[in-house]
Amino acid sequence: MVTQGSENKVTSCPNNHQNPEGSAWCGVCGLPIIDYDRELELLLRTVAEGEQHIRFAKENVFLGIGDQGCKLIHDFYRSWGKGLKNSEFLMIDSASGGQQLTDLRTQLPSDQEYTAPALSLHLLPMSGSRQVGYYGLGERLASDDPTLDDRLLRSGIRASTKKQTIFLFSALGGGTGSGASPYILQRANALNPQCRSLVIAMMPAADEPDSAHFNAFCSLSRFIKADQRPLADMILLVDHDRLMKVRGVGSMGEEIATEPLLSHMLGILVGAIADRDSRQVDPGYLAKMSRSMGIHAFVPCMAVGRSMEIFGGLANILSSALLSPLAEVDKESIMLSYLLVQVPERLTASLQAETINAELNKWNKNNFPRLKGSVLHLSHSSSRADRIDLCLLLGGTKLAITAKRAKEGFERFKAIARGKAWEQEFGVTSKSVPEAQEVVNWYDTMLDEIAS
Amino acid sequence: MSTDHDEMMADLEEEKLLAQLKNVTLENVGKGKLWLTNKRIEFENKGGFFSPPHLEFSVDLSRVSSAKVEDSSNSLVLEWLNENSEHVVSRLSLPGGDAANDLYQSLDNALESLRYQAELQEQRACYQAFLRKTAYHVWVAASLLAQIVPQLTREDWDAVDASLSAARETANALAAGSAIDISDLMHALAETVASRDASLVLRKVTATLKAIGTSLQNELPPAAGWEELSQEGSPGLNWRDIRYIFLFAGRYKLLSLWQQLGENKKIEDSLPRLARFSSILADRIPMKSEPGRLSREEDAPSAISSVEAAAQDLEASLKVNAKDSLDGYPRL
Repeated sequence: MVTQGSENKVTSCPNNHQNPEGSAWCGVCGLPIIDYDRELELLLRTVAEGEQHIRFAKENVFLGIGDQGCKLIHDFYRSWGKGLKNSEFLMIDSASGGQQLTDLRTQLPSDQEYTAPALSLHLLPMSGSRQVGYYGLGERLASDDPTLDDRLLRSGIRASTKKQTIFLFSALGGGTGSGASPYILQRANALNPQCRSLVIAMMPAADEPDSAHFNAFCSLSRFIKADQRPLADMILLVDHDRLMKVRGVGSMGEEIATEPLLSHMLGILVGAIADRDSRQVDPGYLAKMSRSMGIHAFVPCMAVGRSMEIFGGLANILSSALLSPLAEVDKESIMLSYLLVQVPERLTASLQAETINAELNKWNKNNFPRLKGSVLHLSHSSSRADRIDLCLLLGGTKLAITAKRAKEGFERFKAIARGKAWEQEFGVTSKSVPEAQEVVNWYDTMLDEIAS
Repeated sequence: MSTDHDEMMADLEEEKLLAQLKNVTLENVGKGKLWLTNKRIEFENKGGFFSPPHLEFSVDLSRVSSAKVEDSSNSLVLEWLNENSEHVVSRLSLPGGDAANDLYQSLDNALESLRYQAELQEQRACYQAFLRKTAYHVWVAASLLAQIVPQLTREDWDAVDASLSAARETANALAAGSAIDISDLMHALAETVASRDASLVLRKVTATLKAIGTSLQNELPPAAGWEELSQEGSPGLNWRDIRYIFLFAGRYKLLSLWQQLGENKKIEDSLPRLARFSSILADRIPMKSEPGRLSREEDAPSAISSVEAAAQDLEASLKVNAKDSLDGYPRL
């Protein structure tokens, strides 16, 4: 409010008394003189400066779908996730399944306690108390939820985040896990078409009913291809029965098995366990490479807490991991091999990246005759032990082999359910069932073409 | 505030005799004198042999609803309301001549002047009602928009949605009162909030605050048509005060964020500004506390408490004023 007079500039007080320019207080009424333009500019600048306190990009978004998926994400969050920067954790379950998560929900941080990264729970609304036993019903449950997109956006999945990897964990035997998971990943891809995706799919145990295998097979086919294009960049297949048999050793000498082993695997994948150099671990790069190669299904092979002194070398630890793959694998068909190694500080000097790469190449050559690509991700821990953790991800084996049990269960279920009202009872059209089979066959044929 | 002021000014104004006329006959009463001042019209009965003259009526001009001259009978018909608000008609026969014409003319002018004053007073009351209501809505809108900033830092989207919804209602009220129309900006902000992109939302909030702030830079909303009144400098709120309310609300709502983040420099920068704004507003709006005068010797925590008390006082006063103004609030 400075005005130019004929001789001197004057400024007006709130009571419109004129004062010499630069006066802080009015000489007549004593009220402060405010330069509104300047104050407005400063206020707007102060508001805009709030931007530096807003956590923008969520580079890693962890989604746990269904009962098992939620539990794994919760365990991982508690064990390793809290230390991850730029990450968000979201558990999604059906309202009926969510009842079992009551204890877990009470452990969620309140708004006041909010610190990054955040863990939250979203329940898919159900119209009735009916159990979501089938893939089709689970998919319908997710697609009927009008708030799902908003919940995904809130977890940080959005197009403005250029470098983003979505980790989706789900057990595919149940209705919610098998049906909702592919749909949710589709929505995530729609919200951020540039995101990378990595699915950890738990396949049902041998003693589970055929309906569980049917669910798993249908779900797997959707992850492989949905709307005429591959949906998940990488699918890590974990057979429940095999997982139960694998053992690892933690940094304190404790046994790591079953679900905690999966949590550990995820930790290695995202560099959450490493104390330093975790920047070298980039699961998004692995996902990108897998998509570009057209190889989507991978079998993880874990060797956790293997002593260099006992095993005598990296090659033996790799062979040890290959002896207990988490799903059926055909060595002859492997075309992609990703190795994530975590080396303790005391072995850093003897296990440099060049040394490991040389050993890995030699070992790969001896084991995988059709190998087309190999990637090493090395990280270090401050552990004083001589134990190394490694996770080998092998891609190229046909689904007819890796998901053999699911396929057989799918066939049996299909035969039993013949003549039934598919859409009404199972939530899928009779047309979509053969489509699932066609997608799996297409993927296996495509692997043959890549190999040749 | 302006109504009290006008009444006080009217009372202070000196009473002047405008005209007087003898031999006036009041129907059913008799002959007497008619007096006209700038404030009242009186008829004094002449009295009889045994009765002294006495005042038959003395009517405040503001209570006169009609004064008609019937030329044929050379009479004046006065219609007015007595102390009991009863309608009274007085028929006065006036002697012919210039004196009677002068009285008619003076009475007509006095009543016209009174009508103008009453209209002006009504306009002032409407203007104040408009300002009070706009002041409250600007306070609410600026507060809601500024409080979205800390909500974004917590990524508390439920709270952001609630703030936005209330801000949109306020924007509608501002637009309906012809003060500022930020409905389109609010619509655009709502679309951005739906993207759940905190960075984009913050930029949109800043743009919306800028639009409101820039609108307040104008002397008055052009649609209101109160330019003359805004120049009067009468007591009560004026358009410029709304700017200080806007600045105060915006800065005050960010204070808790800076406290939470330990941004002491920003707090030190904000406190004296808030104190200056509130000392101006305390001059206009009744407030219990005046941090502008207290803050000079206060440490930061007690200065913050003073600002908080002033903000609460201010909000309460603005709310009461806006509510009181509801009846007289014009729909333009």
